[in-house]
Amino acid sequence: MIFAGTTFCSGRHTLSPPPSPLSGIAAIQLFDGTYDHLLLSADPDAAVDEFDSGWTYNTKINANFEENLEAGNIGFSTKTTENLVVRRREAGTYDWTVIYVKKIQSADDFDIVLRDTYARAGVEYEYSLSSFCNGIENSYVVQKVYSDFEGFYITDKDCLYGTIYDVDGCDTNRNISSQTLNLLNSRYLTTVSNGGLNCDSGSISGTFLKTDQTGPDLLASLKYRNEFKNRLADHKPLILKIDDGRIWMIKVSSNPTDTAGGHRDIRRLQFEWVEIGSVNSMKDLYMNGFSDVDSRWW
Amino acid sequence: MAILQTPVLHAISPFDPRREKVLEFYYEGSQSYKNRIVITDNERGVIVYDKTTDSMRLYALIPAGLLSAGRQYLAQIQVYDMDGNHSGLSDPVLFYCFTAPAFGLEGITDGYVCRNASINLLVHYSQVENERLKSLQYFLYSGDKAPLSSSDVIYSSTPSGHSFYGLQNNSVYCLRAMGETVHGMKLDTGYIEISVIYNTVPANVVFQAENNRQNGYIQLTTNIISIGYEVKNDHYTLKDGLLTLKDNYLLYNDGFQIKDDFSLFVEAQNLPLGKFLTTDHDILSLWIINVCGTFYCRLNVGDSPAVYCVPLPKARLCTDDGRFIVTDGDTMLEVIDSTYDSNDLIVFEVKRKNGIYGLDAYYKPEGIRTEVSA
Repeated sequence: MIFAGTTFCSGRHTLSPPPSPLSGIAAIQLFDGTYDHLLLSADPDAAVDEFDSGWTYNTKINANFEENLEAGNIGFSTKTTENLVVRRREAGTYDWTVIYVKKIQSADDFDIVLRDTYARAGVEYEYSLSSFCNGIENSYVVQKVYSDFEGFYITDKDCLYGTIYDVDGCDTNRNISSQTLNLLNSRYLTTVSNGGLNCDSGSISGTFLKTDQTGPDLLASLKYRNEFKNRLADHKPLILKIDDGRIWMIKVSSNPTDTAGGHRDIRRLQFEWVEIGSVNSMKDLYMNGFSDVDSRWW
Repeated sequence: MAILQTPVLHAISPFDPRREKVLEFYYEGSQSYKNRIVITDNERGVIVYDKTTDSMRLYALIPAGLLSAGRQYLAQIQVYDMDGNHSGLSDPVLFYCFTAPAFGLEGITDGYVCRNASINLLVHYSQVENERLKSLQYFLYSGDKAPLSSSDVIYSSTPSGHSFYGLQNNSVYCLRAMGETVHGMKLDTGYIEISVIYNTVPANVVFQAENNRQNGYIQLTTNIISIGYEVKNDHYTLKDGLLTLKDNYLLYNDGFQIKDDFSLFVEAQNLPLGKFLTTDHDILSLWIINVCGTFYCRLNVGDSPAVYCVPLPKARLCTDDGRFIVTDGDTMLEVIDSTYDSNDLIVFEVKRKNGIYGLDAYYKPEGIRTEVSA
């Protein structure tokens, strides 16, 4: 029954909490007074004990006004981190490869932009960002990413050259040490393997062409090819990776050739190579100049 | 009398003479019915053990405690058949006796709790007769003993350490170290189970990995979350962990955002009547008000006609030495207090859960509580 506009607590929703706006919070203002602590958490079940427990995943603001007005967590991170370490592994495997180490001295040092050009194609990688202090890893954050590209790339610490045009199959040979002997008392041949040789070699070719919005850029393509040939010819180790997932640490073992592919401006570069180390070995990466991660982290 | 084929004694690895040792040998020929073992002290050239045993099995036993640690011996075997025919003594095989060394992981035993995502391992090795270590290797297994990782074989007479990284939180692993001494004595710590429990670094460091397909690389970026703020003027002090604002305000306005449920705590004292906290666009504000002589904290939520009020904490009773008096239900005894003791630090708590706001004001749990019956 409704009397004078009211149901006198007999209505169905009379005792329900009144509707309240559900806007977000993007600013907090404190006025005159004395404040010891301010904490904002995305966890509605958080307890006041979190004043002392530092940051959690839900903490948005935590200002304890000890020496400054800071409400972020810069102080927390620089207090617990001596080195920031970035590592990589293929998803499903256990062993990590350390690809980058940075010493942390201030909050700005946490800002890192890094390109990992040694990831092969068709593989899901896990990258971890670890906080190290006094040589001990405190904890790590992991991100997954699926690595994928087309064509092939030649890269080292300072360069990245590649093409998607007319890439051949990159045929290879697996080299082993083996010698056949014809023994006087045996109907069959005998093989002798003295040595641990077991590596790939091969050749690869592709058409190197630079394009812009209008089409092929012949001048840029010429410059690009010359830079690439200079890199091939400087006798330094390189990493070759191709879009079918194969990757090698190589050195060029023949004269790079530059031939016309049906038109004088469509240039095909080709070279032969031999494998000189393992891309999964931190020691090989360091000793061949691909990585600055020294032996303290192997 | 026929001469049987000479047996061949298998290689004998070093062993602790306090335990019995089985020596196996190889023999082909007329069925063996007895075997004789002869042990000679290699340094003195004296036979220390010579025993014939009725056994058809191709092994002989050195009893425990017969030999001495730190010495080298020669062993030979001879076999007899049923007709009394015997073989010659086998070629002597040299072996060593050493006291079983102490070999284990420093500071890590079964059930160890690791508080980091990595663990540093170092074996401790000691041997009474100074038998030197030749090599060792560390192994990491999952909790059900599936092999995960191992170190290289470390060739050194001095134990070297090794670290395993990337241990997952709240997981069980097994560690193991195996080694070998200079004279071939095998060492094994066995499986040592550990638990990994640590506090993870909160996601204040943003970490992104993105595949750049067109250029053939993975882009990795990190950055830290910084909260931007501004103050109206310099009329504020920071002393003993307290911020005092006078004719001033402090505004946190950058680097964070809450869209859904939240918990807000502010611990404060000496708050004058009026508004002491607000959020952007006055969506939410906290006030100190006085109604009929009693002080309250009031929460206003936007344009909603509803307000939430909670009386400020009442005075608590305590003994002369500062112990708060509580009931046997752990409830503090309080009295109605019509005054607001502004010098007390009060925690003002605002929560929004499932869209419903809640307000509370209380003293931060502290102090020694003395239970009394009430």
